[in-house]
Amino acid sequence: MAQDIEFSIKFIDPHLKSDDVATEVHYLIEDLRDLDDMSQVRFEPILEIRDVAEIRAGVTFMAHSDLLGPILRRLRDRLYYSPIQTAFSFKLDGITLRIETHQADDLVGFMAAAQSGLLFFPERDYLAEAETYSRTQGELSPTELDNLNLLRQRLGLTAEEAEVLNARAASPYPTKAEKHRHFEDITAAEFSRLRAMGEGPPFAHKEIWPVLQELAENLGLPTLEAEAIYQTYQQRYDDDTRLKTELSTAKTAEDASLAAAAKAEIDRQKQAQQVQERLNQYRDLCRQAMANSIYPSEFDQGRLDQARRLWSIDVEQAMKLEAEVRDELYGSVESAAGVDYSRLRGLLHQQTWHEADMETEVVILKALNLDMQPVTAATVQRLSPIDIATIDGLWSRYSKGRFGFKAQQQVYRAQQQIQPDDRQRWSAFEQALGWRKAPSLFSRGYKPYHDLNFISEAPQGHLPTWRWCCPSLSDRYKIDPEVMAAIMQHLNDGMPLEAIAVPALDTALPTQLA
Amino acid sequence: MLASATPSDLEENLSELSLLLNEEDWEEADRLTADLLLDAVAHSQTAMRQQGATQRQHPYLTTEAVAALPCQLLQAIDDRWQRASGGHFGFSAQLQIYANLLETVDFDPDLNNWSTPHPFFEDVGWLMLFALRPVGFLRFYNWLEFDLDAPKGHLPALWYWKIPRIASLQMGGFLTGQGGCFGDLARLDAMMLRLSRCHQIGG
Repeated sequence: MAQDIEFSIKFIDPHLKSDDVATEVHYLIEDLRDLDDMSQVRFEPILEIRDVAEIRAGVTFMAHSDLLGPILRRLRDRLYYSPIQTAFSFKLDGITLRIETHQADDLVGFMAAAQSGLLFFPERDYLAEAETYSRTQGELSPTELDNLNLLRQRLGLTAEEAEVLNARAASPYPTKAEKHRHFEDITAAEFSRLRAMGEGPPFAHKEIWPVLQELAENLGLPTLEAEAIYQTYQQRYDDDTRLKTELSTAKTAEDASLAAAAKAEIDRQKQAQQVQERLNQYRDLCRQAMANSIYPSEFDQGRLDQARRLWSIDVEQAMKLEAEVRDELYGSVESAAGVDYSRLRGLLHQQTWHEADMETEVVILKALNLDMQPVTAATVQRLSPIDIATIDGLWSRYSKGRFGFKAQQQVYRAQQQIQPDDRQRWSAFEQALGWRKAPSLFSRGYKPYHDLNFISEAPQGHLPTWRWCCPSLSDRYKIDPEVMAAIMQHLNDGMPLEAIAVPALDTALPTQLA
Repeated sequence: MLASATPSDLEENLSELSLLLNEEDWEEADRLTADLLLDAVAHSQTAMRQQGATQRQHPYLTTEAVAALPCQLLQAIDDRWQRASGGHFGFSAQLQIYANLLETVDFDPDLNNWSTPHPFFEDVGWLMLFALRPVGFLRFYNWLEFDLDAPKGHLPALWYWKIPRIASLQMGGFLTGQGGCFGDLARLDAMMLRLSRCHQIGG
């Protein structure tokens, strides 16, 4: 059946300039190559000597006879838009058709001749149409049959021939009902196979569907109908399985209820275990995310969110976990007074000692809730031991024990052992902390607040300062000894030191001062 | 918490302050401001001692008294000054200047004398002009400028000027309050510290 036609198209308009001819040829080739199945065709230029130079005057190529129709249509369209005198020749089995024209209508006449069967294979055309129809609906509708009938007459096929072709187009199952039945049989077979395999895992019938869908396509059965059939069977299968399990449970009702309870208990335990595992995993993830920074980076936060969703942990619990991990890694921010210590923690983590000292004042004054008035000997008693422990914990954690209330208590205790006299002891205490210079004849040794050392190398217990009991700071950082005594007393009450610490401090310095 | 004994009196006084400020009677407003602050101190002291009404035992603000001034009162007064002067006068204007200096200058309080006063005093125009150059003594109170041409933060000032005679003498004055003597850095700092602590309440 495969027959090739040799086409040759040549522009013979004498008014056309050589350049224009070359351009036209170029576009002609482009146009033809655009057609379906033409991309593989080789186009040979027809060369011609005109005005001394050799130019491309046309093109010749071989194409399958099926393509005749589209090619003719394309050529006709071109002539409509630019009626150039052109010589067309079509060679098939030794027959050559030559047309020289610039009128599109002439080609139309030729097309009519071609369509009438002169150059076509009517059976193939008919079969293609019939197949298309039967695929779309599953079977041939009256309108489609009528259309085919008209086509048959135009192609000059006999009714018997058309019948045979129709049957062929409809493949092994000509009517929709037959296709339907066949598909149903196959589906039933698939499900019985599933039953035979016993307790099917829940996703089993999902695996059947893609294959069945393919079958429906091959049969020419519309997907929606096929799916409806499939779903009926699936439903039936599910019902059966449920019934079966119900029956089996009913059979051994007593045992079953006990077993079920036990199973439920195990399940619950398993589930609880799983939840716990997930929480632990999430906690580990939090630890990783916060290993380098108090608050996870955007990337880590994204990972945490993802994990939270994957393990279906609710937001509140996740936040609680994150807070726990943060406290574990960076120190507790517990407060009895409802004060937020996280800023203080952040500042200490960054070792910005000065800012942290100022923040310490803010949190203490806020915890006391006395209109931000400086702490006095009376009001210091209201500071909760929990808050004191939190502040001290954060300071000592980030200074490795150098700073914080405990460090100050230790310094004080060392002074206590050396200085029996109360007034001298406070002065020595302040000097040991580096808060005050030794008093001299001309000066009492007080420094302004900004002259204190906000560096990691500051003396033991230098920070946090007790600025929160000072009415003014820039003039001099000076604390009333009475207030100092009350604070130290309160610290010792709330946070007693161990029985006896090693007198680790440099004892030489205070004795000299005294 | 603030001036609990006579809240109506306080409101009356505050509305009077608004009135004075709106009339741009800066001098009277300054006087009333100092009175309001002193009243508040007297209140808290009487409340503390559980005594009868001996008002204005201390007709000046000590550093300790300043440190305990009610935040609400300070903010209420400051709010009225700022509104009337477009932010030119008021405690906030003074705090802004002072806080800036605190960050940029580590002033040595031992140097606070007639030749090297704290830069704040010069910035708010409280220093006496000597041959057109400021020297380290504060102006006498009635030499201050009571109009909007004054430097930013110039007023309120009387709360600072009112000091006991003995203190005035000690600081080189002539029983004229802060006028004519060195500025008392501790009291100034106490007020500024108080203001910045009060600012922390909101945040």
